[in-house]
Order: sequence, then structure tokens, then C-alpha cells
Amino acid sequence: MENPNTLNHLLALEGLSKETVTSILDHAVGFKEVSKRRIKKVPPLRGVTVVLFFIENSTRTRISFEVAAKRLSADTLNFSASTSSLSKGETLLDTAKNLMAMQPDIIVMRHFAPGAAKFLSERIPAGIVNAGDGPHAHPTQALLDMYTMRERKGRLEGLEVAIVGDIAHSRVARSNIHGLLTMGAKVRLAGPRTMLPTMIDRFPVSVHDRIEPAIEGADVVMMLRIQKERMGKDLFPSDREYARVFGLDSQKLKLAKPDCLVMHPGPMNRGVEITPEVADSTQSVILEQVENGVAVRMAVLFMVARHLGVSEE
Amino acid sequence: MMVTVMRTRIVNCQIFDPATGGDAFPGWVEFENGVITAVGKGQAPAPSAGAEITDIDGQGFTLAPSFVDMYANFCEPGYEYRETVASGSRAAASGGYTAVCLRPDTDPIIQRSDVVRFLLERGVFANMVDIFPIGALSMNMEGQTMAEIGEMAAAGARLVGEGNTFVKRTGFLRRCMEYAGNFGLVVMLTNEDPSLAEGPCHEGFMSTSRGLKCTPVQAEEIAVARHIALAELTGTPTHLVKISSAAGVRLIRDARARGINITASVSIHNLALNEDANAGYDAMTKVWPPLRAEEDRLALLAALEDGTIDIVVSDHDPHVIEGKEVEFDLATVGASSIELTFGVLNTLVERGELKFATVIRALATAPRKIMHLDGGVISAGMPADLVLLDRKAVRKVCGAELVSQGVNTPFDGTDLAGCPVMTFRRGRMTFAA
Repeated sequence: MENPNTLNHLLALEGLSKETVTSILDHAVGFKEVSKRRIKKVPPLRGVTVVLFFIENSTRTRISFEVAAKRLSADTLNFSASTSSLSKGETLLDTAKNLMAMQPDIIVMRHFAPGAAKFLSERIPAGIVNAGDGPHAHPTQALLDMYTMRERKGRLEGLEVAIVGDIAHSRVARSNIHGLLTMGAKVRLAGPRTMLPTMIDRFPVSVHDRIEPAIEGADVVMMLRIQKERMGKDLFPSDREYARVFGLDSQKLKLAKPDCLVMHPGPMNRGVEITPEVADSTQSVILEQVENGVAVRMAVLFMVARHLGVSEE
Repeated sequence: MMVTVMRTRIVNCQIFDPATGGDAFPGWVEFENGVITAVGKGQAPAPSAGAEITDIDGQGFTLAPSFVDMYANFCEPGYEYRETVASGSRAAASGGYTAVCLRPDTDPIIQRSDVVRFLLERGVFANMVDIFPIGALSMNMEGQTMAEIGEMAAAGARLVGEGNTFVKRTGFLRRCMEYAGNFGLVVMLTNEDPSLAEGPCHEGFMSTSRGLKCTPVQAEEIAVARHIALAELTGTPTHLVKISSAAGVRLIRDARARGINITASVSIHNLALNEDANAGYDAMTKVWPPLRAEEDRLALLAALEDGTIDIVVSDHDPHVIEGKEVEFDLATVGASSIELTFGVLNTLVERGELKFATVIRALATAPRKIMHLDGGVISAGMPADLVLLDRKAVRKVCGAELVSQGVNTPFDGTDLAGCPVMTFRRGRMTFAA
């Protein structure tokens, strides 16, 4: 039986129960308050070592996890690809085993290969938190997105959430699909057909090749980052064209509900997938997402530590 | 003067002779000097005076013609840390094989007569299976300059092909096929348009949900269509290696109905597994062509039953563990399979997905027909290339305990029903369990 108050790992949202997701979000409510104190620190992860194992570059996710761990009084250790022996040809498993020699309790891992977090979770005795594995999953991002929606809307059940952009290459989209469906929200996906993966409609979601029908009457519009390196290659011709057809501007936003939230996992390409006007509007909760990310990651680290029996209540 | 005759008999077994087409019958087989001398039903008669006969008790087992693998990698020369002709031959014999065709992508590539001769000699030295090197079509398999196909044929090659590599220039491939036809060679072509191929998995719901790089069925469909068209244009006997999709099957069925000179194979992986095998990111399941949707797998089984697909290949491709104990994206492609082929197929028979007669046709009769080899039937005068099979024994596969040097198998830990218990190559026992 899954205990909704603990996590052995957090590899993906797929398969997590509604009770567990709710429990993570509820724990995060308490932890969010910590960040508003003068002394932004609580003791439950005292003596716990958290390794931030980032094989793929990341700034904001890594910093968010680091802040989360430190505010729980954990010791953090940074390990990134550019400084590591991985660039010298050591395998992931050997590197991880070397890390284990330092007795970490939790490994927060970002990697370019889908399944990498699962791979490690099956081979080393630490709690693994997936901070993004290729296009597969980014569970804490989806959790902080859901936290933000729930905080603003008071519920997740029945919300109409549009996710727009490069669905095919997006771990954020995949994790949100699983998380939102588990929580009873309705998911609409939109993007150019070159960015909608095969059989995505097998998920109980609606799929659109234009942004307008996806955001019409929506409670939340989540814009995905367009990776500029894909521009002008096979998937779309130019950022100008993308902005006009698939970008979110205030005109298109009028199709959504008047109190529709605008979200973005960052980093944004202003003027491409989202106009500055919309990004900075009162409907935008993009910076709240970042703030909530710390609280949600505190909750996740705490629940993994609790499963390991190393947390203080 | 009494002449002592040394003969071997396999007695008390069930004989499955593809030539009779029917069920197995209880009986015995006698052979001498590598040739079958007598086949009988029921109890074997007492030996006549002066004959020295060794009887092998085949009680509970089925005797069939030995197997021929048309697509395997023994990694020699160049990659002997993965497999050698000697170790691969031992693994093949334990899988019931007496002949194996080897992929050209060794180092050096099989592209000149010297490498062909080297491999034939290594095969003789190992003395377990007949080795059939598949010569490359182009020098360095770059698709630019034709390899010395005639010289390789003269050295003993019967097959040519570019391994898992796609010949990009269709016009060049046409000329290679025409030229190979001159020497009576069979051209073996794998089927994937690389410009559509983005990854090792099947493009479908599994790859979408797991975020895995993938390749659509159409990459195979386009290549199969091209190869059928070239077979028609050139008239050269063409073997389409490792078909993986229902679309490929449909094109082949249509082409054969039109009388085009093509044959086709499927690997055991595509027959036994589907895309769901990749869902756990286990690098052992990373094989090529991609493990496709269940409807593709069912179409392949049906195509094998009705003869649209002639044969099953092991696609034996041993790797060291270092190449597999890594992230799925970075792992090497392929599985060490030659000794598991029968068990995998017979497990499908036990599940009711294949007929036993189809398995024997696909492993023993059809490949000999494509390669114009003697045998494939159990009757007097035929080579004593035989395999004794236990069709019921269930054993758990353990990658680390394979006879092959390779340890990589997607079947690790699974139970397979049935296994070879003895293999005879021209009357000599090359394997006994």
C-alpha cells in the first residue's frame, strides 16, 4: 500500500495516487510559510545529505531544490556534468556509486536521457527525486504548477487547463498531463502538428493544432518554452511565424475565461511563445510558480526523507 | 573378412520430418559418415551381426532437421571481446544450429575475399557450424564503391548485403544487386529509411508516454517498397531481413503474389516482444528493428504461418555488459539470442501463437531453400544435420550463464518452454545438454 504521506522516490507523477499528490500539495502549504519568515529555516532534515546531481544543465531547478533543501536544514552537495568525471568517460552508475560513498540520503537528479532517474533508483540505495529526465518527466514542475492552480482557484477538480507549445519534447507537459488527470482536471493540448507526438490523443485529453480552440473558456493557459535550436529546422520555420500562430498575446487570451491564469515553466522567450504584455499582466502567475516551486520541493524532500526514516517531525 | 561398420542411431524419439508435412511419429534414425542411412517407424530393429551401432535414447524428445541462422553477428574479426567465431559457434550449436550466416560489419568489414576466406577457415577450425559470411555490397559499407563481390563469391560467399546499414543511393543499390545476380548470390537488405528514423523505439503510444526517441513504421514501409521495386527491376533474388511491421508484411505479401523473387525474415525479438518491453527503459530490450505495436507482432506471426515471411533469424548480437548497464539512450543495440531462438519460438507454440511445424520450417527448411543447401528433411541419403528437441522442459533464462560471450538478453529471468538437447552436424555431436 502506498502511504500518501511518504515517497520512496519521486520518479514521475504517472502512477501516483490522488491522495499522495494531495498530500504533497498540502505539505507544501505549510512549507511555503517558512519562506516568509525572517529566519527561513526549519529543522526536519537536519543531518540529511541531499546531492544535487545535475547531468544536464539547469539553473533555476537546481537553485530551487538547493534553497528547498537548505530551508529544511539539509546539507547539500552540488554535482554537475561540466565539473564531473562523467565528462571523462565514467558511467552514470559508477559516478552514482562514488557519490554513494559519501552517504547521501537523497539524490536529486537531472539527466538528458529518459528513464535515467528510474535506472538509478533500481541500482543505488538512496531516495531519488527526478528533476527532469529528457522529454519524459519533470514531476516537481507539474506539482508546483498544480500547487499554483489550486492556490489561486481553490481546486483542481474540473479545471480546464490548456498546455500549448512543443508537447513532443516537453517533460513538463507529460508530467502535467498525468498529474492533472489524476486530480480530476481537464487537459487540452495544442501545438503545431510537428510538435504533437504520435498517439498523444490516447491520453484522455483533447488535442488541437491551433491555440484558439484550446484556450477558449480555459481556466489556465500554460505556455511551453520553444527551444530556439529547433527553429528553422524541421519543426517550425521562424520565431516570428510561431509567435503569430501559436504565441499567446492579449488578443488570444480574451478567448479564455476572464480570470484565466497564465503560466510558464520558464525560462521564457518573450515575444515568441508569449508577449511581454501577457507575461507581465495581472493574469500571469509565472513568478508565483517559481516561489511555489521551493515549497513544493521542500514537501517532496521531506516526504522522501520521511520514507527513509531520516526526517524529524 | 568382417568389416566393422560404425553407425549411430537415435532411437525411441518422435521424428518430425518437414517433408511429410504431418505430425511427428515415433521412430528411429540411423546415420553413418555424416549421412542418414535409414529412417524407421516404431521400435528400432536389433542391430545386424557385424555392425557396431551406438544407440542414443531419444525418449521424450523430438528429432528435427538442424537449424540454419541467416543473420547473426559473431563479431570476429575486430570485436573479439564481444564474441568470436569459436564462442558464437558453440552458442549456435547449443541452440540447435549447424549453419550460421554472419553480418559483414566486422573490422575489417567483410568486403574482400581475404576476410571471407578467414571466416570460412575460422569456421572450419571451430568445427561446430558451417559459416556463411555475408559480403558487403560497398567498400567500407559507405555506399560509394562496389565491393569485390565476384571475388568474394569465388572465395565462397553466397550472400551479400550491407548488414544493418541502409544503402542511401538507390541507383547504386540497383547496380550492386544486378552485379550480385551475376554470381548467383542472394542480396540481403535491412529496411529502414534513416531520414525517418529518430530513435530505437517504435513511434507509438509507449514512446510518447515514455519520452523515448522513436521511428515510425513508415521508415520500414518506404524501404521495403524500394527493395521490392529493385528486386523486380533487377530480378536478383532478394532477402528482406528482419521485417518488423504489418505494413512491411502487406507489401511483401502483395509483391510475392505478383511473383517477385523476394523472401523475408523476422527476428525472434519482433515475434516475441512488443513496444511495451521498452517501457521500463531496460537497455537489454534495446534491439533493432524497434519492438513495435502488438498489432504488428500479430501480423508477423500470421505472416510466418502463411509463408509471407519465410524464416526467423536470431539477430544474435552479443555485447559486453558495459554497453548495457547505462542509460537507455546511450546503450548499445542488440541481443545475444542464438541459443535461445528455439525456446523463444516454442514458447509461442505453447501459448498457441505459432504452430510447431511453422517453427521447424522457419528455422530449418526455408533457410536451406533460400540458400540452396541440402537437408532440411529426414530421409536416407540426406546429411545427418539433426537436432533433438525437448519441447516441454521449462528453463529460466539467465543472461550471465549464456554459452555466448554476450550476456545481453531481453529474455533474462523469463521462463522459456523447450530447448535443444543434442545437435548433430553431419553426424557428429556438436552439442549435448
